[in-house]
Amino acid sequence: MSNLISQIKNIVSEDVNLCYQCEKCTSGCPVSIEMELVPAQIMHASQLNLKQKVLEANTIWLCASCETCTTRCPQGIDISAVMDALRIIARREKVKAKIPLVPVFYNLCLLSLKLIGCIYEMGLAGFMRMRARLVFKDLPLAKAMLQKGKLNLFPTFRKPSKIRKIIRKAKKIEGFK
Amino acid sequence: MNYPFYPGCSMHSSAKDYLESFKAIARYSGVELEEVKGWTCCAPTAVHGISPLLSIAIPASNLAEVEKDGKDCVVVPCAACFSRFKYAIHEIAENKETAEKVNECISCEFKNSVNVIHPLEIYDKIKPDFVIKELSKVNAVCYYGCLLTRPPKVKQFDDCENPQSMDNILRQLGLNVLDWSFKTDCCGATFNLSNKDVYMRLTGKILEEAKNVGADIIAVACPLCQVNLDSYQFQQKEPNIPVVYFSQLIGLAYGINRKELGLHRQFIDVEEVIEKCLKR
Repeated sequence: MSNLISQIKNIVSEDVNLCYQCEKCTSGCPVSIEMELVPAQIMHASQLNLKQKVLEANTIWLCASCETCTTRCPQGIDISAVMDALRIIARREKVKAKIPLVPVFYNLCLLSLKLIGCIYEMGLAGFMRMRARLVFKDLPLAKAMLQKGKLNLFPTFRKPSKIRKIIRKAKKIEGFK
Repeated sequence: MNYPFYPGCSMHSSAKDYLESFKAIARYSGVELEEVKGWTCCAPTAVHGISPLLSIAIPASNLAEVEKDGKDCVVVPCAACFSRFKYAIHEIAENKETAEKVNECISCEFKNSVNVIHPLEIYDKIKPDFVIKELSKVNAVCYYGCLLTRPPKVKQFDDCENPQSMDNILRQLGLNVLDWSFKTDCCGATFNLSNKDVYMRLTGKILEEAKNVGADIIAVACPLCQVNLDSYQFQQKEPNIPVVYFSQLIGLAYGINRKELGLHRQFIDVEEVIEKCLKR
């Protein structure tokens, strides 16, 4: 199970070995210029089982899941799903995220689902801005959005108990954290 | 025509204008919308980075509600919700094992018999037969974003590199629709909250290109794209191009008033810009 290729296959049923380095994924990726390893390099490093290199790169947290790579891959690899798998492995094995705010955002979304049953935008935005130390800078925007009625101060509950039940069962089957 | 309707979280908060305008044009065009009972969140972006099964099971539980109601389709205007629903349908149809796991998660037998429709598909067929204002002087670009068309085998919606459905609708309304190469580029999505520099760069590039091709307005069909493009301009004070939902433009052509269309909720006033264009 320690082999990265089989770990990815187990989580998202994608075979990184199919990649032959045409780099179409990388040339279409809107964030590749900021990546320490570009998508094609992630695929190659995964084939070579360079786990630490892959999981510690900023790449998996920079991927915006826009699915351009997935759409264009001539080998039909869902590269965006591979990135998901790598994020899940990094989470499971407690690898420190290069861009810590992204996993924080993930956790908050899940928490919002569990507690409210929907995404509580005001709470999410407020907390994320606090973590990013941008609260004061973005105060005018928040104020303007509230005035325009584009943000709700308070959330509307949408059957969180139903979601919690699904999460419990999915945890039992898939064992995520 | 009567459609079950799934609004999703954002249409009740950051995309109220989308909801208001969509409901308003539905009334005018004889489309009846009935909100799905007991809907929950669709489990967007963050969840598939935590658990692939959960990201299928939660949208499937919403589709199961539609199925329980005896309906065979549901209208989903939010591009992110649309994407998650389409993924659920695709994964459940392709993978029997996943289907079984999903049924176990949602404690019911989901038959996967519900078709997910985007409002663009409805209004591509219903052609508004009258145009109130002379709009041919207004240059518009259509911005579809990532999630509506990609990946094509899952979404099965329009062309993935050069979609046309919104272009067609806007052309029908009399607008001068411009061609541009950023129709399906990424706006940075939730990086607005988790990685602001990247979001500013990606959204900035889209707006810059819209300005370069000479667009007066940008039409969108995704709540997050609208908020990202609009609030960027609130912060940067340029390039001052209104970012409106396609449904608001249809509403303007129908002659519906600005409040009903939620136009007052946006940072850059589309009506002012249209007035300016008409004086050209």
